Amino acid sequence: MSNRTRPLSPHLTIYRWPLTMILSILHRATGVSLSVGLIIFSVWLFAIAFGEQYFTFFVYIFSNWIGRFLLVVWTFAFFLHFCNGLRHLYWDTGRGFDRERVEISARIVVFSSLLLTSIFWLYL
Amino acid sequence: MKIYSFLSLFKRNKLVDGASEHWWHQRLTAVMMVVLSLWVFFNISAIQSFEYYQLKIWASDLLNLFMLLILGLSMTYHSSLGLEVIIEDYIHQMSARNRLLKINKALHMFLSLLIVISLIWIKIGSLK
Repeated sequence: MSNRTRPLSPHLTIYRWPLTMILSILHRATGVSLSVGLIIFSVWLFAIAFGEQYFTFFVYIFSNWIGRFLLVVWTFAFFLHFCNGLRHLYWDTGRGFDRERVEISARIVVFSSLLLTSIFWLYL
Repeated sequence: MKIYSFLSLFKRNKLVDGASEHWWHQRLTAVMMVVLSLWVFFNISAIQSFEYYQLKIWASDLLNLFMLLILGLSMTYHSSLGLEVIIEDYIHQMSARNRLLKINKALHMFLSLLIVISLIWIKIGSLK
């Protein structure tokens, strides 16, 4: 792997970007961002447990527009990872691998995660 | 290279150890989180406002506390497994990889400890 003179198989830069590939990459990316979110979640629980002063500080950090923007991004990441995770679980049963159904399920994932994020922020 | 020695090279570097457990645990925690996160979402949105004492009362309810605990532990475990795969995929240098894997594990141990301690503390506080 360290030998850089070896030829490489074609990678990300050479392909066109179909939706299924974007979703596959986003599943990883949202996974990593949710891991960061998990740290925030743990600190949030800690703040609830150990005193109001920590909690108000926490709310203060996320009350400006950057904080709010991050929270919206995190909920979208959550719902996308959630829906695409369900798609993966469906695949794990050995179904849905043919070309058409992979395309359809990809569209369903994008649509439903956008819908869930808007419902979450507009109605809850 | 014989297939045996090729495999043992992977085994020595802990590349195939527990791969099936990894896969299975990742799915198990995924299914648990589907149920638990929906449950927590719907229940937490039932409280009127996200003020400190409201949240504290909500979280100290025994069922909510139990659900939060299992959700928190599934999340840390799932996150640890996921980041493990990503580290193994992108960090090719063995010493750096093993070090990062250890850091990843330690970080998630710490996070799960933080969650458990916080939840216990919320319950103790509500008993007073």
